[in-house]
Amino acid sequence: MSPTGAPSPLKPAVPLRHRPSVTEMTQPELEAFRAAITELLGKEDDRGYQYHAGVHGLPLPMYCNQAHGTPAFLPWHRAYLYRFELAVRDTEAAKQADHDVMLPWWDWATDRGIPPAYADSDAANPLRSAPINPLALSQGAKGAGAKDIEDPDERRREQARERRLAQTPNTTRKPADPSYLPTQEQIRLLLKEKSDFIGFSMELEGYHGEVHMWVGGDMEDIPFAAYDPIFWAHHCMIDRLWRMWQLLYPQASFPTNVASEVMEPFNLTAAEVLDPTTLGYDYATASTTVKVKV
Amino acid sequence: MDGYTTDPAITLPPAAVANDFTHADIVFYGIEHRGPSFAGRVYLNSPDVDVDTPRQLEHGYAGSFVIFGHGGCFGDEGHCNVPTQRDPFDSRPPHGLLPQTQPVDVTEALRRVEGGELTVTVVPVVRGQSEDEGEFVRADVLFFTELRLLTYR
Repeated sequence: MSPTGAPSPLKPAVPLRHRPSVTEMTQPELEAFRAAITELLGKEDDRGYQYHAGVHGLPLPMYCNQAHGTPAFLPWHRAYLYRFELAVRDTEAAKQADHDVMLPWWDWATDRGIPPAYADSDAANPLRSAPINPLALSQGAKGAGAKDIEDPDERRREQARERRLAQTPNTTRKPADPSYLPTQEQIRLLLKEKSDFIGFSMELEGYHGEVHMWVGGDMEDIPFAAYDPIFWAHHCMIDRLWRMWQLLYPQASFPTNVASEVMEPFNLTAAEVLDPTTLGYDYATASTTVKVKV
Repeated sequence: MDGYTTDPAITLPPAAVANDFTHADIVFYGIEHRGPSFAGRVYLNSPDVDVDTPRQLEHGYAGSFVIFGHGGCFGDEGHCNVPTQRDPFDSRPPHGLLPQTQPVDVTEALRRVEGGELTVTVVPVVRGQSEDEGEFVRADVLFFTELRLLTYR
């Protein structure tokens, strides 16, 4: 494990930035992150929150179709987080912070509930809920139009349409009993027993789905899940578990037919995101910096 | 319970009857995922289970798979129809709604099965939208084409 990363073979290694645990963020770290998200929510172009949230689901195209139930699940979401994190770091709020503003991860196996940083009902908290792109809502209502409800697929579309039409334009959650969240023991066994990439990825994707369903509301629906700010913290946890697995099994092979697959629309192959240090981040749980004046 | 149960029962291979395996999976093929998200809870030789049945080995529980569902079709007519044929020069990514394959590790549950026959029951559980927004069984979300029991020595 290296404390540095080299963006490319031609560039020198540089210090990595570390994604924090949401429960261990200092108040200044949390405030800077919230300010950056608020700034992104105010941008209406392809640097803004709505654009990035929409890449996962609606408005069409739904790029994440490439990433669910496939071996691209982990690399696609790693590329997605990477791009969103760069947008966060591009904000003035992040640039003005005296620390690295990075996406936090939510360890739902340990902190079994919506983290206070995301649940705080203060009206100024951008992590509690976010607006959904009106075009996404429009497509959600239109495309699931009533047709012949005798066909099971059509009946499901009709039910989806009813839900879309009844939905408020901001994301909502309906957390279930915490006992339904994946447990530390399940995660321990996953890391211990799944030494092949496909087996690990498929089982982790199952736990990932359980958390989406546990949060409920928009998080359990692919078209709108990424509009909920907790989506990013959940997926950072998934990405962190993959990183932990990679460190446990450094010799594990990655499917060669997936390695060259391009993660759309990020223009990165799976092979290019295998090592997070080349993307400039890692998941050290503690980091102490001493600035030296010369 | 409006889920799925194998009928007739599966005749177990001799290695499974003799507990002569180190690992066992049930693999579900052709799972539709264009509808809502759901969990498929898998039970062995327990056809009368429902949403409230504990997820414990002594109740026949073997494991689960979770489908993060597409949530419906949001395009125009035909947008979500998976093509049945593909041009050999078509290098675009495959259709995003191709059915999924999901394995469930049933090693420990299979060891507890007595006799030479096995029924596999899948309870499709969704959350929200009715039943007071709690968990409930919804039969119309579960579609798959095939399951296989695989044992490894």
